[in-house]
Amino acid sequence: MTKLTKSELFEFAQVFILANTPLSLFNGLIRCAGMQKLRKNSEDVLLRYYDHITGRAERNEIVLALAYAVLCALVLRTREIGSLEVDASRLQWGQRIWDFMKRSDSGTGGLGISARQAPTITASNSPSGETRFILGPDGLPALSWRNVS
Amino acid sequence: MIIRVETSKRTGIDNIQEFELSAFERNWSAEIPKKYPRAVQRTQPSPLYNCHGLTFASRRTRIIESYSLSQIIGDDKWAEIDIREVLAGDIVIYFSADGDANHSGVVVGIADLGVPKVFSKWGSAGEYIHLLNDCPPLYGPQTRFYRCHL
Repeated sequence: MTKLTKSELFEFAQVFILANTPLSLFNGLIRCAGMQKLRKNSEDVLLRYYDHITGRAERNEIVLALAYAVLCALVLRTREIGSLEVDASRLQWGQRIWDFMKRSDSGTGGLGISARQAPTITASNSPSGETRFILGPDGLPALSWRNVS
Repeated sequence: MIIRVETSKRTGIDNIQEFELSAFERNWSAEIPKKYPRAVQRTQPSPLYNCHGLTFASRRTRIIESYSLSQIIGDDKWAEIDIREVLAGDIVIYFSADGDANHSGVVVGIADLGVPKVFSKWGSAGEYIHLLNDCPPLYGPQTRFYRCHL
């Protein structure tokens, strides 16, 4: 099994703490730096490791986040090679993640609310309606201009 | 533990309460002010409710499914509004690119140049008052605003 650094494990754990929905947990974990390392392992190695960590009596955030991360790596591997037998129900949100990804693969997945496709930045007006601006990722105006008409 | 949460039309809403907060969560929460110095912390970490529980269930529990939010939005007559119309008391829902409602909060004011100021709960961490996008990158990147018309 590829060894993860402390910071990579902490990144998984931070996502685990902040995630509000099973899908946001999945989306957050697959973007972590440690996921690339996990994905270098074969499905057999990942399955053995998943069995090992979900069988541990100690379940702190680090262990749980890592277990979810391995499950997510298995989800991604399943997309590449087809079906795998994984007991996702060992984790509270595991079955939801697994089922959702299976539905997504078949093209029938639904999320309840469809988000309008919009750019990351947002254009808006000031309360006075005179100044237009674009919000940057930190929520502050990244660019502004005035109407001259 | 599950409690009874209903919309105004008495539709049951799936939810779950959690009760344990670990040392890791407490320690990590203590680091948030360093990462988000402009965000104002207004409560300590709590495992009982999440952001959607704050926005839609009065802090009593966690709501974790997007379909539950869809039910609440419909039953409780939350209508989408443009960011330029946003006022204190409106809500914001953050969506992932694939439409997952990954965060929500309540608008508490409008900052300089019309940027909405939001208070929301960050997972198991506390409640924070922050500018719209001054929050963990796990939330968003898309946002939609709603006003209740019950």
